[in-house]
Amino acid sequence: MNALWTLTYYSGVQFARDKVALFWTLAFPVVLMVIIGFAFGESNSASMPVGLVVLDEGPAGQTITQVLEGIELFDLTIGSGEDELAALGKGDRRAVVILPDNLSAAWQRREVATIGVHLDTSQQQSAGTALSIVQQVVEGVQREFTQQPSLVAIETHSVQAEHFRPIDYIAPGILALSVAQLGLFGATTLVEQRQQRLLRRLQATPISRWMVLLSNIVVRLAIALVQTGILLGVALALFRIQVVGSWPAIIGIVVFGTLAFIALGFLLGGLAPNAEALIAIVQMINFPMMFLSGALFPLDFMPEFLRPVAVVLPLTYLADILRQIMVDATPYATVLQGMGVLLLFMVASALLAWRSFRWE
Amino acid sequence: MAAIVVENLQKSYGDLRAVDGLSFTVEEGEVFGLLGPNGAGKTTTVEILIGLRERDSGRVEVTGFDPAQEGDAVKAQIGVQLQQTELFPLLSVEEILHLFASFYHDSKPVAELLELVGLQERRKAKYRHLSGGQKQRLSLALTLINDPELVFLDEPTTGLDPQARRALWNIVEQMRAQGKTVLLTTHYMEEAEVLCRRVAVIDHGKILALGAPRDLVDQYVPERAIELPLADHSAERRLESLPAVTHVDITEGFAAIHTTDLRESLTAILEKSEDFALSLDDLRIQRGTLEDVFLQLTGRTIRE
Repeated sequence: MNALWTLTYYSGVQFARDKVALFWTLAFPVVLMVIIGFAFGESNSASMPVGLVVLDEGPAGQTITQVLEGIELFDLTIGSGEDELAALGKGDRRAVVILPDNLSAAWQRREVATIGVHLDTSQQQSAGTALSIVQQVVEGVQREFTQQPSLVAIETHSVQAEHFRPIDYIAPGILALSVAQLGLFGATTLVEQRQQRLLRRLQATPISRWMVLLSNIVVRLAIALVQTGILLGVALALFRIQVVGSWPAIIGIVVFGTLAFIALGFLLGGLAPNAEALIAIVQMINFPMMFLSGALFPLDFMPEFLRPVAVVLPLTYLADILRQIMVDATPYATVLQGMGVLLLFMVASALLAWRSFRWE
Repeated sequence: MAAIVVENLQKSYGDLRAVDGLSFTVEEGEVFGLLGPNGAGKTTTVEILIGLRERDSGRVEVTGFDPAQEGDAVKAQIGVQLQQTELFPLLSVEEILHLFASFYHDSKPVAELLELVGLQERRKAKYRHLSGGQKQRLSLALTLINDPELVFLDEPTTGLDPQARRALWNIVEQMRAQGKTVLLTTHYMEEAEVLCRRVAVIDHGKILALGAPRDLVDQYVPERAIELPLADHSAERRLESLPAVTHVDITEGFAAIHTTDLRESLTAILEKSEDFALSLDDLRIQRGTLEDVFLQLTGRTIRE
């Protein structure tokens, strides 16, 4: 037991002193998340979805509708109050404008009319923009109609939309991706040690092979947990991700996912003749996997002909499970189905790895 | 009891017979050398003895155990140095010693081992910053970590400069002084002559000769060479006519007079020294070396 602990401890020390490995495993995923997070953190699609509810049947309502439709920044949807507010709540609108049924009548009597503007304040910037545009439009139309200043009162309502920002999608995806990469590269140390005949030297001592393997796996798991902590810490602090799932569940899935990908990593380590070849093989899997799985982009964004690829990639399921647990995203497959796929993948990889791994 | 018994050991890789019927016994407390060129089967033999490789046939006993059956028992009792092994690049000398110490039931104090191999000053240095000689010294320290009675050293000085090689020889001599049994492989004749009580000369997986280095030289290269300074070639013919002289080589102002009977030839040279105008100031007598033994046995030099 002492041997196993000492071996594990020093494997960890080795890793902690390897600056290149530290960067790629701990810093790089965070950098990736921050870059993607800031690039797509707020949905800055070209147009801003705005809902319009027209209760006024008079000319004022018609004119405002026309002017708002002409604003290019707005992607205007006209609907019932109930639908539009629901859409706002889900994050599908940045703002919903409600023109009251007494609007035309009030302005005819030169009285102040109250326009309701519901804003998604979780997207402060676009909310502010939407509000000022709406205000200008309504006041402009009102001056045309009444030739008088200021018969407009705007009543704003703040809504914290439970909507899904890209970062909510991306953060669990990057966590899944990092875990997968950690596992895929999991055999590099062993393969280097095999190449330098260190594994052979260890074989000449009384410690057993499973201790060497186990110490490697334990160190990888520990790194995965540190990586998870850092990634989630940054996601919480910088992007205010709302984690809905329980921490033990997240940690459990991370451990499970790491083990599954370590099994694949060991299999590749058994097939590769040396460390250089192993890294090349891993990258050949890693890059397509990054973009073809649903880890970074929703599957819906993917061209139809590529979807079957995503369906067979284990990373798709790991990302999907983490997303469901962390931010309650709409599942692609259920947690149980995803776990089943991962388990199958893990057992198959582990068996093949057991057959293919060489010690010299 | 013999520390190692090998009887008719065989091992093939495909068509290549790496070890082809080796038999030898290493007594307790002796330094025994397996001497031969690269590819002679030395490393394969060592790997079979320490339980890293399966043999095809033959009998092997190491500290009373069969390494193929009781590998763990053998591994716990021996110290091993393998050739061309890199250790953990980012761990320090002392960390590596502590790590290996944890693999054994009992281990020697790390400080003692550091002193033995002269690495106290470098104990905090990372492995990757060590010189070749320091790496080898650390690797020798590791062979002693469980205080074994039997130590295997596979090509311990290959690739080292002469000074580093001498430092390693000193460590092996200390092992011998402590009464440890050492089996070492080498293709350096001088190393075998300096360190080994007995050597087995191996080529193509077979033992060509086995015995104490001096005995092997006497047996296979009985000639001696008398070396004298000689200014010109004029005396060559006359030297060759002396009794028991087989031939004379003249190079760079020196004559090497090869003789089958040292006493007879030397007496003649002393008698004729004035007639022949020979200078006796730098007279030397050279014995053959293991190098000559190998040449004699195989018709080639060991580094070919």
